[in-house]
Amino acid sequence: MTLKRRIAIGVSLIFSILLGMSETFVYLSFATFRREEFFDRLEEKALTTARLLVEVDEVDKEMLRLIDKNTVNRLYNEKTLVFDQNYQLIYSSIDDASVRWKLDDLKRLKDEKQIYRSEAGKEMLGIFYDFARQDYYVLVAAEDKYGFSRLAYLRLLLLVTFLLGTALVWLATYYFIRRFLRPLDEFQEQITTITANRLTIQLEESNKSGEIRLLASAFNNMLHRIDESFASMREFTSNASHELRTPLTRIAFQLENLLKGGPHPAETTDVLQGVTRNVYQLSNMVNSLLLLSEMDREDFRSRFRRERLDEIVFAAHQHVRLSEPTFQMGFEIVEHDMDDHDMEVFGVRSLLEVAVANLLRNACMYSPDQRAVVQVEQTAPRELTLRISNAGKILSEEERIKLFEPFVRGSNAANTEGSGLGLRITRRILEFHQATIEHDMDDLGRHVFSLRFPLRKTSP
Amino acid sequence: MMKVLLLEDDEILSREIGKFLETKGVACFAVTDGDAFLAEFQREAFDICLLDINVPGRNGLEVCQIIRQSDTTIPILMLTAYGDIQDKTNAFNLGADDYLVKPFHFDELYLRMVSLLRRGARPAGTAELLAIGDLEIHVADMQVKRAGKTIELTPKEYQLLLLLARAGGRTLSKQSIAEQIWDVHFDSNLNTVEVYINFLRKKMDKGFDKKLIHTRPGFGYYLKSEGE
Repeated sequence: MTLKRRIAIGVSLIFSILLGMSETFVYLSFATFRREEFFDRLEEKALTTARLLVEVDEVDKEMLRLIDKNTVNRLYNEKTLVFDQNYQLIYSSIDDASVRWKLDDLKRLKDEKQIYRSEAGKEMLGIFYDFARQDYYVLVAAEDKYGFSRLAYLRLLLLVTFLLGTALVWLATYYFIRRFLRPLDEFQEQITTITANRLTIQLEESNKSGEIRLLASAFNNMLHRIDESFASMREFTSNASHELRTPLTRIAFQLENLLKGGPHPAETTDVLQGVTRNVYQLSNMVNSLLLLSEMDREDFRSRFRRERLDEIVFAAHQHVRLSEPTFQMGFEIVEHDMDDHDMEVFGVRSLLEVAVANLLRNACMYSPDQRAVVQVEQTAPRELTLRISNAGKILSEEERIKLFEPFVRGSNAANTEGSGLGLRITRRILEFHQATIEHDMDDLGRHVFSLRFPLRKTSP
Repeated sequence: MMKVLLLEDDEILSREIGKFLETKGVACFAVTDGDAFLAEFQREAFDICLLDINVPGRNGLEVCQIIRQSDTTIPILMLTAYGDIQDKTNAFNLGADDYLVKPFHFDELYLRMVSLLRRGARPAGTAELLAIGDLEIHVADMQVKRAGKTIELTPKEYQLLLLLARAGGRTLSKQSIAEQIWDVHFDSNLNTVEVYINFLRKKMDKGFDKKLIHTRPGFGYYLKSEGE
């Protein structure tokens, strides 16, 4: 659950509980008030009836009924009963209504002096009346129609205000919280676009409220520092590579002239040739490092062009042949009706050449026959696969897993030159082009590197 | 004797290149900054220019541009550093003929120089032109036109077309094409030849009534104008 929703639900729940509690209090208070008020009216009625019947000689039963009937303040569905001390009914009002009573009620009344109960919508009050050493029991029952209808109205009113209030508060809280936290959503969207190659993104700081502006500003500062440290890392790699390259070129040229200036003893020639190879290997490594630092630059993707994959393979082959003249490459296209546009990938040619050349150089170095077969196949409607296979020593599972890690060299690399950077760089370059690389052993025990490129359909 | 003017600010590199070229019978005049290069270039006549890009004064690219304003024929070979990927494109746009990435093998430098000179030495009028029907192949600048319209080919497609054109209508087997174009000397799938022939057909014959590239089933391919 998002923070936004949690805050909205939390605030709304608290409001609902408080509102519910206060409304319940109001309702219960009003219900008590109604009961007490009705009790007073019943009591007054009972006392008046008893007094008129017992104390006033001029009023007999018939007159009392007449008075009862013509009273303005009559209660609804009212019934009055008066009993003497032998529990004999001495007066009953003429109403149709009835009072449920038992003898036990009258006995209880004698002890308790007053009973009050409510049943079947009617409320009944019994009082004990003592006059001239005579005991009388008066029972009055009536319905508080008016009080209950007011109570029902209040209940409805409270329920509606509770429901409406709750709904309004829930909506309002959600809306306001969403509005307040919208900048966080925007931040999240912007932050997800940040990659090692895109560190210059700045979060919007203006027109934001206090804490959010502070958060944005702190984040921007952090990003700026990260970008600076990345830039200085790139700059360092780039500068170091440039600085290394000049002396390497000097050594290479001097060695070459030295070799050409012979004749030297066979041993000297061997050593010089070995050193030359190492210098070229170092130079390749420096170039690779330069390339990696270049690739991290943000504008590098703007150099992407449509390039024919087959031509990249041929150029890489030519490049490898310069240092490995004995290397042979077989080239196959596994598809008859391929269009020339189907061979086009989108990327930086020089980078892709380096990626393929690294694989070809590996194939040459690690295969006993210094041969590699390159296959191009359209493996899916929008996927072009380049397979580079060569014979060679079988690698253990552990070695295969570590194949693309930098500076890791397999057991098959013993006695061969290499930096352990080639495959790493190849994979970096391919990832940069949204392509993938996998290593497998085929049925014939040959190493197969499969490079899968997303295919761009022909432009209009 | 071939005369080379070299722009290279690193004295050791400059000396070593000079030393090597001397063994090939090439006279190498080396300067260390762009302005000195231009002064030397004005003073004497040279056969070829070798330019490093990152040098004091005017850099190699500026020098290349200035030379091209007065001399459109002298071959210019750039000696670039690897990181200057963008510079390579710039160099070609400013009139350079070729480039080499440092460190390079001296033999390769020499071969490229010779090849540039050979290209430049051929008088414009005698440039090799192969014509088959309405197809023209300008070998020197690797340009192909059909009915006056330029056809864009990749290097391999161009090599394949040139091979077929030079065969003078003879049929070439897939195997021999594979060997000559792809340098394939061991068992390999010959599909590739078919695929490239198809690429060529799509670029050359599509939209034209007369087909130039023909298949002799079981034998191979030949290039011929049907009218001939």
